Amino acid sequence: MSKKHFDIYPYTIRKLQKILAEHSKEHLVNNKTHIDYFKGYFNYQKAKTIIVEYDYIDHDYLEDFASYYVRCFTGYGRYCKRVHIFDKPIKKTAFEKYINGATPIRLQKSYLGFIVVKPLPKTVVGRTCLKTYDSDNGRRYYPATRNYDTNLFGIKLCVKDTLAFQEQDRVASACATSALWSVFQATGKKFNHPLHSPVVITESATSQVPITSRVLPNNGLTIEQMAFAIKKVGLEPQGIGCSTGESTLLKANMYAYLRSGIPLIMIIDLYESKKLPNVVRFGNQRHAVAVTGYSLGRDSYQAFSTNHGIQLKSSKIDKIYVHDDQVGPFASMCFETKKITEENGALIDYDVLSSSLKPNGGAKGDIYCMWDSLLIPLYHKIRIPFHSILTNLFYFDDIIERLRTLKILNYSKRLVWDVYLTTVNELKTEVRECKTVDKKSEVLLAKLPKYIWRATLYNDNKKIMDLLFDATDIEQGSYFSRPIIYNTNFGNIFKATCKTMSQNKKQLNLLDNIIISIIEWFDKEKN
Amino acid sequence: MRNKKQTANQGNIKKAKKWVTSKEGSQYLHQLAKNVENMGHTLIEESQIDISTLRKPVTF
Repeated sequence: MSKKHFDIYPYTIRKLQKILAEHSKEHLVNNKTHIDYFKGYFNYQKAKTIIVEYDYIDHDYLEDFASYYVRCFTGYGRYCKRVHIFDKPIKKTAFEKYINGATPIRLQKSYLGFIVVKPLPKTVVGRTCLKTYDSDNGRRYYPATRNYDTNLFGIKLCVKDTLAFQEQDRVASACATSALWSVFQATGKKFNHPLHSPVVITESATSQVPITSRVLPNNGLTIEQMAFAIKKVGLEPQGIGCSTGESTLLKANMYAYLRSGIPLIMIIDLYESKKLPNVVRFGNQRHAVAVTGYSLGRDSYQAFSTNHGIQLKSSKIDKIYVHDDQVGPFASMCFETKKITEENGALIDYDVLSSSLKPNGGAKGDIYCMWDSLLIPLYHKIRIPFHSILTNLFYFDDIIERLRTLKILNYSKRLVWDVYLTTVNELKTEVRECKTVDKKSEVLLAKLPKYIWRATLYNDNKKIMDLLFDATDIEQGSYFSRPIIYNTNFGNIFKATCKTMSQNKKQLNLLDNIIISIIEWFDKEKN
Repeated sequence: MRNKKQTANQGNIKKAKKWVTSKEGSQYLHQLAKNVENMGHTLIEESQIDISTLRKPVTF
């Protein structure tokens, strides 16, 4: 145990490196990509003070210690340090007064968060909770966050709207477990399931699905094992394949779930940038990251595909923010288009993601990523997948666009859909506060399921219509709930179109039962 | 001004009904139904995880 309780230092990246390297070697810590991340992050946030809290007992590290490290011949410590960072200068005398009861003026407001430093030789970055970057005028979104309360010698502090991160220790966890651990931090709060330490996650992932190598130290998990770990906390793993060279479907899927506060795990393959346009893997390993936010930074919306011009709000995503256990929390990955050589020798455009990962001796940008699949931990009642909702929207988007080009609907640009999962409470709160809802009390008094797929149609930033779908139904069911109309003129034209369509029974029978339900709903509405 | 807007909207409602029942509208909707069914199948296929990937280790 340390003789000191705390230390206070002016922030410099050099000082932070020294603190992180106390049980390690400086050159090992200095070469970590996390240092680049922290340098950029704390410069941006204008960090001024580091307070080191000694002999901190971290619950997750303690479990890993009890399961593995305690049995090592080398006496690894069980106490961590917790490093708190503030964006204002704090003197030792002032801090001692705060401990003794003086009001900690503006301490909460200046609190950037904390990093738990584990007493290990290399993988020192433990549980880290840092304030996110600001929204940059509404561009950056971090929907999958929560608050973390801390207590610094009796002083109550809180890191608000963030999500805990930690690097893999290659013993209890590799990247897969670290990604699961971060994701569970959000879903645990949202869906009320227990929060497990990395070693418990790894052991539960491998308890029923066979592994060919030893469980601990852990070299990684398969997607199947990761899905099992999700099931062990009482959630259902929704696996989505999205390995094409176009990013619109990936963005749409990510946005649909992330917007509701559910982070996802993305499995990626790593490639060498310097070998482009040839596609050369970087090593043979796959990587997993926890997707925790996105940036709507593109100037314009993109058509969904060459087969359908539907425009989704998610198409404006230019970056995602991920907890990459080898980089840092909310690390950005940018969507880029690279020229790659196909097997037949043709040069084609291919959407990829940039990465901050660096090979040994390399630089940022040496590695780019291709996504393989998403794994989403869902509450068991959320059954209808996103792609079912999107298929129904293809139909109505086409009709609305046709009416627009015929100048029956007076809009200068194609309308845009915002499709995401939400809850009945969030929906009704928003509807109640909205001034332009048709039949507002009818909507607010309507019985609606707990989880709802919401497809909002927009003209510029003005809501036109919602189509609401019951996310808890079964796919063969009629899971359309009801619409909400925000623009009466549009509503009247759309209703008249549906009423006329419903009279053609022959044509109606060609359609999917959900599309029929929507048409029939409008048909039953009075003129 | 409000009456003008109401009249314009009534006019558009009539145009919408007329389009749905027109030959062009009927053919368009008929083809759309087929296209959407095909696109739905494509979307389901693209959203499936490749079984071979399920047991590849994620180890980086």
